[in-house]
Amino acid sequence: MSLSALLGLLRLQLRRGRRSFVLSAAGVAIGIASLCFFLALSHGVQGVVLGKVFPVGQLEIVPRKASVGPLGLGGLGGFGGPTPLDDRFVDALRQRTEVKSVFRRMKLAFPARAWGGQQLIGREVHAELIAEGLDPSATAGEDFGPIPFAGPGGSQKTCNADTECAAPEYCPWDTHRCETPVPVVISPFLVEIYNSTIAKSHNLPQLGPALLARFRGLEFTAELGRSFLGNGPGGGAGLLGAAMGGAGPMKAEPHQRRMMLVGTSRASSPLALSVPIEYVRRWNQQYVGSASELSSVVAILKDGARTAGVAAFVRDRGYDLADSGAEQAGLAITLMTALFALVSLAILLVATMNIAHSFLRAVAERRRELGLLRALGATQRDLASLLLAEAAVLGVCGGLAGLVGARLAAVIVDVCARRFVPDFPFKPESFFAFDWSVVAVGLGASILACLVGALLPARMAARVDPAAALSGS
Amino acid sequence: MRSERIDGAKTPGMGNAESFGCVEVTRVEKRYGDVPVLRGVSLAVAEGELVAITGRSGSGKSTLLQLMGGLDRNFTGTIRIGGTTLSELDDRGLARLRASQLGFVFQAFHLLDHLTVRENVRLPAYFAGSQATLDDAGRVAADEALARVEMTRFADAHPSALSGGQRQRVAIARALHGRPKLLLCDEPTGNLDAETGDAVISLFSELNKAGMTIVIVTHEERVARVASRVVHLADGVVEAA
Repeated sequence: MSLSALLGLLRLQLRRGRRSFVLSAAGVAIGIASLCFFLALSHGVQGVVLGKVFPVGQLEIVPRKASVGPLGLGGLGGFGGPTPLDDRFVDALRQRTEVKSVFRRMKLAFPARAWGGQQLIGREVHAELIAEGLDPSATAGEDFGPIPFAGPGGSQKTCNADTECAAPEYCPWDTHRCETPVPVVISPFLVEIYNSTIAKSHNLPQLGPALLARFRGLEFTAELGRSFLGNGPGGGAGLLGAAMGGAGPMKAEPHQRRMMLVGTSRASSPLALSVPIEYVRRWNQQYVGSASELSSVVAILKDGARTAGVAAFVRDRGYDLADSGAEQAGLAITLMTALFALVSLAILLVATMNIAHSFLRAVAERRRELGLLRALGATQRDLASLLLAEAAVLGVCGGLAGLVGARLAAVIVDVCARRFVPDFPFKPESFFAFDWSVVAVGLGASILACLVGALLPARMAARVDPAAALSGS
Repeated sequence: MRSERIDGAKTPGMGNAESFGCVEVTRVEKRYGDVPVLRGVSLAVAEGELVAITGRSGSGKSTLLQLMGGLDRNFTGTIRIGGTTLSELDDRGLARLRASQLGFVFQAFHLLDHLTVRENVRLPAYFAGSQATLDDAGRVAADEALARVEMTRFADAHPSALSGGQRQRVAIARALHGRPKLLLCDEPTGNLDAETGDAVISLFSELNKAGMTIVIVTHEERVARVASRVVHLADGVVEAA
């Protein structure tokens, strides 16, 4: 039987038994809907967790923490403590074939504080300045303004007041030379935390894309070498200074610098302001006399590169990988997805058995008809093909209905989540991601389930004895 | 009309097989389990004949017709249709033979109620293996077949809306759709009243006069009136009527 003949006959066959067809399709649709619902949920959650909360494809390398092992020396880099992260290691890391790029981070090694915000939110906000230096190359391709995210710059013209410098430069009172404000980027994670917690509790405006754009160019003052938490004995920065790695009294007098928010960057530390690393290097040298030790190094891996080789290299050199939680989160999501997929597959299995039962019943009911078709010239293969084609159509219809059902359920869940679930950091607009893979898996599983369900009935249909069927025996 | 006795021991006219033209049944035996249904039956139907096979219920006449139509392959002996030995054909070959050379008419009509009359008549076209039979040509052939049995005006009706006689006419039109060389009819008047049955028998007579070879299994004497030959079957053996 040709394909056109099969399709023509299929069209005639599908005209009858619409009710049982709809019931069978509904059974399939329920299984497919649940499968696609959970798949899309898993994709959506994975997209948020691994895409926004825990960036994938990158490793953060930190100095190994000093710990006392069984011999009292475990974890120490030789006898002098943890091996410091430095530019030599960065260069070695860049040579790895799995690594696309590397960028450095360096923490402020002394206390600082900041204040500002009057011009935008109507009041001055004071806080300890938690900042770190970031390689400007880490933000390549990102859009900042009104000044670029780059190292120290400015005309260095002698000045006594800001008005003597060309905007946006200002006149620091300690150097009396015009400087560009220190560019600052923040992490979207920080914005998210601000929006979902600080803004609400302090009745401050939330930062959407539009408002965030307005914040670009926001200037505030940083005072280096001074803390709101008080100074320690000997002119040091007290407990905070010690906690930040400051050793003993600071080597320079506190002074102020102007900073300017230039945008957000995913390369930025999640809980600190990021400034170009050269500023931090210069300030650390100035205040604590040390400017070479990096706080962490981030390696961006090439697409599809395996992390195991890089991780082993890092550990061999005496460093550790920062525990971002991404691995555990990914594992948890994978396990949840597998569990939901198993439940969905169980539903699909029941649907498949239901389909098998329906088709077996149909074959029994249509035995005479099948015998007649044989008498009219149908081969055994024709009858099997006809039944399998009916199953495939059932699969397509059930699959499409299931996809629509899953999409509707997802919309309902999203609407409920928006209304009833309190905001939390990175709460997505939608928890679901219906991409082509979900559609393909849904339709494929549906058609496969129907074909598997119809295999035995198709075999039975092909084996109908026309003589017996037509004589009614 | 002539009657004859044909059994395994004596097969008149079998000396020149080609002269039979249409159907040759030679020493065919068929059993259902331990029960013999046909016992060495031999029969020849020449091209253009209208042969009536008569006999009481259980005599094996319907079974013989099914074997002649290739609907049942479990038998011993030889059946040849137009020179082709059925036992040498596989499922596909038998199906092709049925689609291209045979037409079936059944006592129970076997029309599909969810299809219209025209769609029922066109059903064989799906297995004919020719695209033309599925296109407009197939529709024209269906309408011609319906016209031949005077059922054109019911083409778009469903079988459930027709009388028994009308349904049998539609079944005959379906059998005629592929222009078969041999029409095999199993009790075609069994479910019809006398008047309607006579009309159907007249139709077979006309088809036969137009050159079609027809084998009718029946237990009704009136069919014998239009048959060119009557073969009587009793206890699985062909006897003279």
